[in-house]
Amino acid sequence: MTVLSVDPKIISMANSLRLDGADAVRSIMDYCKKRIARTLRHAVSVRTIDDLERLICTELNLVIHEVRTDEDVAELSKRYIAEGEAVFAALDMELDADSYGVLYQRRQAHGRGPTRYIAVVDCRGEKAARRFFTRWHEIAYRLTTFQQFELPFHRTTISGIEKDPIEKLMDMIAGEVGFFDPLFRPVLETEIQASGRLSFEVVENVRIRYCPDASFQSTVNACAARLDAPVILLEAGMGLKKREFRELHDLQMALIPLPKPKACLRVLSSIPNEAARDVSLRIHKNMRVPETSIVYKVFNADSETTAAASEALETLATWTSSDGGHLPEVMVHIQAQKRNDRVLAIVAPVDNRAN
Amino acid sequence: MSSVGERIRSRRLELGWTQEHLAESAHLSKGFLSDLETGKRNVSADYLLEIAQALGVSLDFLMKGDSSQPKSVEVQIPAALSDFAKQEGLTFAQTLMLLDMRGQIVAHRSNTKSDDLEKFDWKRFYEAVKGFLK
Repeated sequence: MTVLSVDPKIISMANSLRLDGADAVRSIMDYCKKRIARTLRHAVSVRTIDDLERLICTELNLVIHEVRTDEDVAELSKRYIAEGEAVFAALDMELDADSYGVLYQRRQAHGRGPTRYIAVVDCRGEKAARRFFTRWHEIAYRLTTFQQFELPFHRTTISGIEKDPIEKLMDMIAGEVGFFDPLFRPVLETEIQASGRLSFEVVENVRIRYCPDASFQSTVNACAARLDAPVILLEAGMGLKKREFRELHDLQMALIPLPKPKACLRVLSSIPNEAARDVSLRIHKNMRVPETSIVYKVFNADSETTAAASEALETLATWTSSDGGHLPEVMVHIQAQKRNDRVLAIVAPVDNRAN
Repeated sequence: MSSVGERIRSRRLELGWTQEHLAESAHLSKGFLSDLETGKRNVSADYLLEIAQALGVSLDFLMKGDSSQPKSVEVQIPAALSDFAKQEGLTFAQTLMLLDMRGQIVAHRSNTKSDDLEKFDWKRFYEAVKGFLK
């Protein structure tokens, strides 16, 4: 059971869907998967993720629009206003710089009409890279929304640093159903068999074969999550110790003149898959990246060297924490690649027997 | 108080399902389901469990319903909207319309937007839609 399962918002959602709240995340995920499975029973042919999306959207009375220019936003807004949906007059306001999509419930459509729900996915500029995941994110919302609960039920997102639990759950659902196992797993397995292990090349091949519109990030997450072998997806970048971060943002401490803490290369996120959790393979968030690690070298190499991914065998015992402890002696294969100001790494134990 | 059959029908319609769809999902005949929904027949616990699973609801709900559900909906106007409406001289009906329009936004995928209606930018929203308020 995850921490998310005991979050009051998630338990409340499970209750509102009349599901068992004992493991709310699992109940909601299972519920979404069952809904899709039932829809599929009546499907003639679903061979691609686009086929599945079309089918699910029809079942959910959902239409998804993508807007690529400001003119598209104005055009869509005009169209729905003409159909009596005045709320679309504020569409431009809803799709501000930080918003990727918005889901509307129409008033001027039959309760179970095919266009009852309208999702607008913002594909302007850099947001286009997230279009695939945003589409499935909106579907995830719709999968977990029911008529009688809709009025008081505006789900939104991130407040401050910590992401909203509902958003986290929607991301999980989108990751699960957008990379629909019966369609996704065969592609992944073929590529893994050909290559021997999960690598950036495998992820890119899977992405192209499964859905070229999906982002690399969402695909690598899906690949790692589905893999039977243990693997950690690690992201490293410049950061402070937790204590340093707190002190820097503490107003009282600001009154005491202290030298500004120096950021160093740290683990910004570390996501072990289920198999990795089963063998207790983990790298803690915020750990300092050792200078001997390939992750450190890739981060500090010049841009020409880092265009391709680099890889190395190393032991996790060199990864130390500020209290003097270190990770267990486990030999791992690390493939690392610099992406903007961060390094993304795939970490896998050499003998799959981490402990 | 609604019956088991009525609750099954109500939930089925919420999902936008036909009787055929539910009957197939719950491994029943359509005729049996139709009789059940209209209260012409009773149902065994086994069948009820199948139906509950197909509909994604608890057995408890199908058998007892949710008596805690309010019969009428009480509309709560957020203080921020109430203050704005007063300041702008909006009528009660216009204020409700504004709230109802905001209610049409089911979800955002955003880094900054909050679901807190007290923090919502009512002024900006009003400026965008005011031409359509009666």
